[in-house]
Amino acid sequence: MAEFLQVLFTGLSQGGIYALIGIGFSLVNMSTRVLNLAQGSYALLGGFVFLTLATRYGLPLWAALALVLVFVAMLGVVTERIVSLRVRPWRPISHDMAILTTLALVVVAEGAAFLIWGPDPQRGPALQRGVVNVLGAILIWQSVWMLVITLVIAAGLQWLLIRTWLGRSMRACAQNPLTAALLGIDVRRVGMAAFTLSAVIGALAGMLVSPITWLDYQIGGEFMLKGVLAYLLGGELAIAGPLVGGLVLGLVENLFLLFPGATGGLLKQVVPMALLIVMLVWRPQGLLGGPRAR
Amino acid sequence: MTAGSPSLLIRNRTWLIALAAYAATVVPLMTSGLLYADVVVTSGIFFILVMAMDLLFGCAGLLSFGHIGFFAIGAYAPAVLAKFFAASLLSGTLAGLVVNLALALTLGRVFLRLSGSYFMLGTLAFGIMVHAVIRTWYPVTGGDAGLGDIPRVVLGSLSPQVSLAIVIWVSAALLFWFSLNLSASRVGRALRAIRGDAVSAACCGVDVPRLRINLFALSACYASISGSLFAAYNGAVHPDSFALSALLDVLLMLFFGGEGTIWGALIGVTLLRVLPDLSGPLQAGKILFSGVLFAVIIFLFPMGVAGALKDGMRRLGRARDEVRPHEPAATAGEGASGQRAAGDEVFGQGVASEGMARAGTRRLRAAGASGEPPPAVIEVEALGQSFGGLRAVDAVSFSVEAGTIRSLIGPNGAGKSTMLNLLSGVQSVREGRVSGLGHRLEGLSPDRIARLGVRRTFQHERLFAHLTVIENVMVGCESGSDGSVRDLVRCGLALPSTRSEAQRARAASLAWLERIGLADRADDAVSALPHGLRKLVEVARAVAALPQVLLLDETAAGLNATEKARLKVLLRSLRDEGVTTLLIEHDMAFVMDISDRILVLDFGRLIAEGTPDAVRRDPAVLAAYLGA
Amino acid sequence: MSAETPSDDAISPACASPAPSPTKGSRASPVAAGAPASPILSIERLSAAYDGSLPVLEDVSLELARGELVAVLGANGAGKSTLLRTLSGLLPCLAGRIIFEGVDITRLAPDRRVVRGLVQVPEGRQMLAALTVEENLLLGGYVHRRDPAGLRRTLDEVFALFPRLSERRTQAAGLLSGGEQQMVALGRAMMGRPRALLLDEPSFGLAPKVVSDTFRVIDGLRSSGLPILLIEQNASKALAVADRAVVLRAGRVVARGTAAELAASEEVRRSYLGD
Repeated sequence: MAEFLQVLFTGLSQGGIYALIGIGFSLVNMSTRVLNLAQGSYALLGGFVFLTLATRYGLPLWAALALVLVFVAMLGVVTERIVSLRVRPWRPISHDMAILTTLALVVVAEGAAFLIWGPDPQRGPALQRGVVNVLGAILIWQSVWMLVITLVIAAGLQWLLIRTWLGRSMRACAQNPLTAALLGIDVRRVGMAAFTLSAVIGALAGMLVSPITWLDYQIGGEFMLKGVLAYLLGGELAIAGPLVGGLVLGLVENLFLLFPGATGGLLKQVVPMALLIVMLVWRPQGLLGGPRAR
Repeated sequence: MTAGSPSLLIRNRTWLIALAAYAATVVPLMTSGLLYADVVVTSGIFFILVMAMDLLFGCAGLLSFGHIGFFAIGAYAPAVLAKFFAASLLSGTLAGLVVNLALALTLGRVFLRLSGSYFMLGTLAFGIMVHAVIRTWYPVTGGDAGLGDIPRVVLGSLSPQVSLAIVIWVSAALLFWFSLNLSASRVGRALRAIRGDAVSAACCGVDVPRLRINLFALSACYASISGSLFAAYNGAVHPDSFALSALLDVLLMLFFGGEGTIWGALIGVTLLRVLPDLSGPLQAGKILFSGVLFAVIIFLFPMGVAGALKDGMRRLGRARDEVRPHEPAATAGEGASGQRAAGDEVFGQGVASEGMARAGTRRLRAAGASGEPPPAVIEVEALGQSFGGLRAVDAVSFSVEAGTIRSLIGPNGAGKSTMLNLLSGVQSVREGRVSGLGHRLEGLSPDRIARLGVRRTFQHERLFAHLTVIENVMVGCESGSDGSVRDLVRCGLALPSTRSEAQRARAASLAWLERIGLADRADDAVSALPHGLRKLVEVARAVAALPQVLLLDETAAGLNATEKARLKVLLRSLRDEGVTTLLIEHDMAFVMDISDRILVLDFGRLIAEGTPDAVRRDPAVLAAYLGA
Repeated sequence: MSAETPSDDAISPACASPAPSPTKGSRASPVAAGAPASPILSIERLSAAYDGSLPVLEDVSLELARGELVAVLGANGAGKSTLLRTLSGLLPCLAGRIIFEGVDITRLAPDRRVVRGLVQVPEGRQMLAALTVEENLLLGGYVHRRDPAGLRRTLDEVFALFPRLSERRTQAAGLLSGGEQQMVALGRAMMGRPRALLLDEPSFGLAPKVVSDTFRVIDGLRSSGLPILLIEQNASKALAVADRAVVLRAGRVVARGTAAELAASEEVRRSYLGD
């Protein structure tokens, strides 16, 4: 029982990270229709810069955090610039080219991380060390914080989407970018805000997870995959979709770790994919969520 | 991306020339030590892989990120089988093929339902998953250590290296030949049609889902073979060869050359095998290098280097053509009745010669019914369709008799186009019944309806941008493709029967182009035609299939007087041959002149039906048009 | 209703006579006669085309004076919607200039034009379907988002104008009927506090009664002094509310004049009902 509870909780907190990456996907896609594969790379770079600042240069965590967020926000803006440099209202973006460009950025980030931080996995500082005992299950404080922060971010974003002008204009762009432009919304700026926001969220995910799952230069791709799965599983409901998708994904993966040895590890890799396929056959619009548009 | 006429490709043996030219450049470089043999042999392997991607992307416009997974499975299959069962390379390769085929058919069925970007995401997830499985499943795959001791190939008394090089390049050449044939064939045209416009392709009778799935599977087989050869060449397999950055390398080769241009693939593959060696020994440098290079290429040459070259050359060619005087049609203006008569005359001759032959068979069909009223070929009962709160079509019933021209008129937003979409299966019927040619049409896919003999055009012309004018008509003429494996294989092997079929289709299409006065522009890109002529080509594409029912959506809009006159003559002669036409039109003079009967739709409802004279006097119609 | 009942021969194919007589074209110049000195929107020799194709709009000139309603008439494919797309910045101009309140806006992005007060009601109403009625309206006031109090006031005015929308404020806009969507579209444009309004086919796909209601609202807006450029295929409805009108055919202006003049002319009917 205690073991099950522990797996359950670990799964949820791991799933929270997937959810954050998935939410980043969702925000950018709804605002610009671009699938930003570089989403995982923000986590990679954010996590690495954070651990370097905090451990090598001994900055206080809050200062390191602030610097990382500024750095990553700039990365988000740069991504947007690169992806839609040639876009005009009357010449919409080519989605194939956009997705390929972001894929190239994933590999650029990977190469850069390899050059700077080398091939070995590294570990970032935790918010709070130690463990807590809940009903016999031993939980790491860091993963408790991971789950809490995920939920707080999701709630905050939901509020942003419903209550603020930025959120409203993002939803307008999701419905119809042309109409949005005719209402006086600067569609490019909304897109840039979405990229920035998603980059920041991605970096938070990377910083949170680095004490538990060590970071290596290839992890950007892995994060991206999990985010994509969370996004596809959950459905196109801006925040709730990837949140639920990510949590389910984390749970399912970790439940399979209960199997001993290599089988568990193998199932952990294969089952999410199988889940995705089953989903796409059974409910192509995702767990929650309306019809899959376009 | 369509290089000239496809039959030329086969006749000229371009593929042989390409390979010979490649060999002629590469072999001297190799012997002089400038190029390592290693590069040339692995180029062959990756050439096959890039061809696999190119078949999918260049022809069908599908970009798969999952091929790195098929490639990996193809590589691990011989390694694993050799380790556990001491199996030969050949049986390992076959096993890999079987596994990949099964996977591709399953995944294809699921992922190909998704639209472009989601297809990429789904296949990407698959590709990354295969890599993760290889790393995790160490009892079988050896995990991060990889597997070694893959059996070697020995041909007669040749050394293993030379034998393998021969096997690799012979396979590459054969597969190259096969994919060139395929892309030049009926199936290739159907695929490029899908790439340009899947809906319109389906309305030409192409079984879009099935064809795509089979192509995906074929392409996975290419990747699998390439993987097995890769394993055989290295003698060992290691997960790093199948990581994300490896996928990017392959994409880089594809885009460097330019998708759809097989020449480019060959150049891209070789160059990119050589370049990383120049970028330094460090792996990090290599990754960064290919990432940046890829971004730059995507950015500067979205069509690839070969594509950009080709485009540049074409532009040079066009600059020379520009000296030609403008089309008289563009400046002629409208309404000159003398001109119209002239159009009739010129055009009438073409019809007389060509139309007669076909007319015989049609008349047979109409003859039986000469005494009694002609039978209805389309019957619509209580048809309805809603979009959100709007009733686009509301309880409409009518029937159209064989061998007549029926017009559907009404103000903007009256539901006319929706009606045509329902009849042709582009939108599925949820309320009411539609039957045509004795079949119930509701619930049938557009390609089934098209193959039954109902063809259509679209309000905003939907020609296949990746095909030439005559190829567009040929797609219509060939009745699409049922997408079966048999079809793929027949076309890939360029069997004599398919070649003669293609020649017949070409001749028939040319005849149709003559009939609409466009024979001299047969090999032009459709984008080079002015709007009005494009609409005529679309009509030719629809009638080339010798349909029994023709649905035209605002075909006359944007045509000048001469072109309208041509269209009129064409429609009348088709009617005489027994074709039933239902057309949407705003040009009243045109409608009144050509229609046997007219249906008037307003706010989704049928407000009037009758002969042109009756409709012209109907007060409800006047109110709907000019406003009450 | 100033439009006369069309006679039978109006639709007859026999009227396929040659293009408009030049005399009619030259008579069209007195445009400026009735118009005040400085127009709020002037379009000078505008040409436009979709990517790489032949021009859809050629050499179109048009002026909209303050407080005036000008209708642009013409059959499908005449270039009416293209004209509006270039005015709102969704399509680049090949040649010519657009001057709005003395400022050249030819190269301005679509959203900047809205900020300047040139607001468009797009064809087919273009609801943000998943958003509520209130959110749709609020987004219409996006450019005034820094003035929440003023926005609230405008919102109340819109709800006063369309009480129906007030009842449905929390409903998803995509679920409304065509007439209600038209109200949202008009209300949404009013939320931007336009200095001039571009209306694209307000009668598109609407039932006759709803069309009449819509035109009553448009007439009301005109009376309140708002300059309006109205693109419409329903000629008699449009001419009933318009001060002046132009007729487009094949991307060119083939006739212009006061609403009364055009209502009496053959040109309009010929444009709509045949060559």
